[in-house]
Amino acid sequence: MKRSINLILTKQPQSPIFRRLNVIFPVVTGLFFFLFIVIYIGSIVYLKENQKEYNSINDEIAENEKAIDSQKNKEGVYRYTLSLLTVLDQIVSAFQSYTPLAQEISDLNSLGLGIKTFGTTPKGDVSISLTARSSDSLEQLVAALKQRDKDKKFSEIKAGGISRDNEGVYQLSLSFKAAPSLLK
Amino acid sequence: MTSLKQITSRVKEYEYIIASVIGLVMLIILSSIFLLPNISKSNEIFFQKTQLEDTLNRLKKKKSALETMDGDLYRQTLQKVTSVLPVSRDYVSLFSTIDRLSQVTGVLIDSPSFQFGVISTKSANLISSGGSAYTIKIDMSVEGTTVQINNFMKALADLQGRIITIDTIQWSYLENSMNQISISGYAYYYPLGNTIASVRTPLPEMDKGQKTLFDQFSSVPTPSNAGDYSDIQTGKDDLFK
Repeated sequence: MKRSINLILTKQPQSPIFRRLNVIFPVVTGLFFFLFIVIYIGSIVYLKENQKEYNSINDEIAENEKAIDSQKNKEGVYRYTLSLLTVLDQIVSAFQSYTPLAQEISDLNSLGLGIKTFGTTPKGDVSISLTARSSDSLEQLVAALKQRDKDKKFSEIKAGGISRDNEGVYQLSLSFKAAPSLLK
Repeated sequence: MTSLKQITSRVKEYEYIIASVIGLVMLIILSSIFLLPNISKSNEIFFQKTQLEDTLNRLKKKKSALETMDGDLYRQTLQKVTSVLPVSRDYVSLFSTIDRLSQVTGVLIDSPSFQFGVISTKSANLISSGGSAYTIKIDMSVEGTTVQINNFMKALADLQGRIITIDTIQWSYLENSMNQISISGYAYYYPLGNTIASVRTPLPEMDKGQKTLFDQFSSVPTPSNAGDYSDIQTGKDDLFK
């Protein structure tokens, strides 16, 4: 009896999913390769362009720096002038001539008082040494000081020791704080 | 034997998928080797380019400002400013200022005295309100009428000579409407700095106070004793090298 062996394997039919994947995978891979090549070339072109621009800006910077460097003398004068003006502005702004205060104190003299001396500090602490010829003058002085306190010209007004000499002249000392506007 | 044949048969069956997966893996490797560094470098250059463009704009602005700046006007103004705020103690100009004030206001100035102090500039007193200006203590006694003394005290900061500020005053009323005041105050000087800005540092702009003073100085004639500041330079660290 003759026996036969079938060596050809019977081909199993592929599932529809695998048949689709067999088509989709190579297409996707090809597409990605194409994209890779395009992006790679694009990146090189972009890089070169940027490098070119970068170098051109650097050259322009060097050119400008050279031009500025050639005017360093002018720049130095400008900067030094400005720093001097800054300092001077601060000094001038803080300057106190004390003339309004001197005027205010001189006005007290018209009340029949004899102001002998007065002194002041930068913070406006004023001390006055004066004489009054009568008690009326003293009352006028107190009224004038109260008015100045009300006008906010003087504050913290304090009268020191008061004495009367043989001729009936009162001697006293005063201290107060002058408003900043009087120190300018 | 049979299993090998089966594997070969399976591979043949899925060869397109396997080749595609290998291709994608290769693509990922190639991207990480070639593409990602390029993108990273592009980003870096783009960022640096933006910074350089800012620098360039600042330099162009500075160049343009320097080109349009009237160098002679600033040089002359600097001479005038340094006659008010000199680079050194300059006692001569202090005495000249006192003499001028006496002549202009009519007061009698008695025995002005200045603190000689430490010779080294760096050891001198720094004022707290005036940046890095140095002070010289002054004491003087002034005699005159009330009007004369008031004018004198205002003229101390008239910017026609050395600026002097009053710290404390002691006012005494004398006979015949005369007054005597003892003034304790300060004169100032501002040494030339030995460190200067680099070429890329932008030019500072004048504020309102500086502009007012600049206009005030530029409108008066240059004093004859003013210093020469034609050799002030910038762009290097040491002015004297």
